[in-house]
Amino acid sequence: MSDLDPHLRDLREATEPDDARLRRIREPRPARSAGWVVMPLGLAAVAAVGLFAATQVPPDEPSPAMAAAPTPPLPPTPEPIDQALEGTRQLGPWVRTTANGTGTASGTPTQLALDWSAGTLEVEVTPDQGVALTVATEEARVRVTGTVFTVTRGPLGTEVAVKRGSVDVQCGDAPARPLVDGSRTCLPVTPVGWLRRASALQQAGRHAEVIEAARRGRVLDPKPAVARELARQQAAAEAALKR
Amino acid sequence: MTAQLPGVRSNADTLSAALDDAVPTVARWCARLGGPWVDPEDAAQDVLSTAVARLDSLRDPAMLEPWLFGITRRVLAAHRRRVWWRRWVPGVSVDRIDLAPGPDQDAIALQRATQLQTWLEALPDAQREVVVLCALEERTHEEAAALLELPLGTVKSRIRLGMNRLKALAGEHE
Repeated sequence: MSDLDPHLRDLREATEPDDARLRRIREPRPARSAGWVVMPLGLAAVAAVGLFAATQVPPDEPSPAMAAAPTPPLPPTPEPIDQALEGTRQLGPWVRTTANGTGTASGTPTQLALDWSAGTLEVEVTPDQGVALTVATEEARVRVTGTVFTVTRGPLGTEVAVKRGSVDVQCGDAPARPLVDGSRTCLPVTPVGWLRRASALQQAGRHAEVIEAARRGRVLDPKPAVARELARQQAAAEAALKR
Repeated sequence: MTAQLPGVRSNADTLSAALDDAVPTVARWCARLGGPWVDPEDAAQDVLSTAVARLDSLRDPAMLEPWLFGITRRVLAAHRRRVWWRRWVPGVSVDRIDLAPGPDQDAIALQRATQLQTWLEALPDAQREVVVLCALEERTHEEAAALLELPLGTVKSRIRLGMNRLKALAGEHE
């Protein structure tokens, strides 16, 4: 990396925001630049010129063969999808989501990737339409071709529940396994994830599981602050169990 | 295991304060990930206004930074698309956004920064994000994995591929 070190240092310094820049960012937004007024005008001008040219040039007389053969319709270009998942959303003709939490959708109507950070996401996919859909959380990756299922990301991990059909669930780096009916929970894969789980279990009074969560978080080589908090959770749970 | 445990409800004031503290971080992300054509101040304002509007959807205050990064990623993608379109529209000029030189930066330093900014544009988004977080912002691989909500191995492979590509580009330049 040594060859790039000066470049990295210089770009770091050049992009470090100073007080004036931070003040401008925090200020109420001024009106948009005139470019956005010019842009629709430019588009309108191009369209007008095109329309004028089309009306002035007489079309060639089509040959009988050309006239008889209908032009096959071009397949429609799929509209790209890039949006936050909130409430109920129709993502193209075959996928419907109901979100209660935080996440995003990207891709096309037939190739969708949903990133889910927290809360519950219900997904309904019309079967046999060639829709390849993936839902990814920190702990789990769910692949589906036609089904109804929910993905709930909470402090305990990620729970995948299938209402109808089947999905492939991959927890962490483990191999994907089919889930046909019922639910499966993918446990955390990071020390912070285990800490969140331990805290939630602590609140629920599930002390034995807190000890297990803290132990599993600590073996993942957490940062000192996380390690300290995991140790504190474990000690508190052990003390509660002794009482 | 269906668990409906008591969630940690965010305190609006605390979150707003945390969001204000995060303004420099968002400004850095926008300047380093947006490339030479995206106005970082404009993008940062969009990120923050989106975050303020959606603050209620943030359930776990500890997830503020990954949540903000997700918004930044989407906002920058939208800005990049907007810039790309504007380049094809008659009557609209798109200028490269100059890097603001620091007080101690000379012309050579600014040239090196601009070069790296251009090389970063050659990386796929996924590699650029990891390179910016780990090499530019000097975060650990574990921190980047937590921020991007990716497995550690994925972050390590992306940083390796990204840095190799940057070194190759630097080699071609010499």
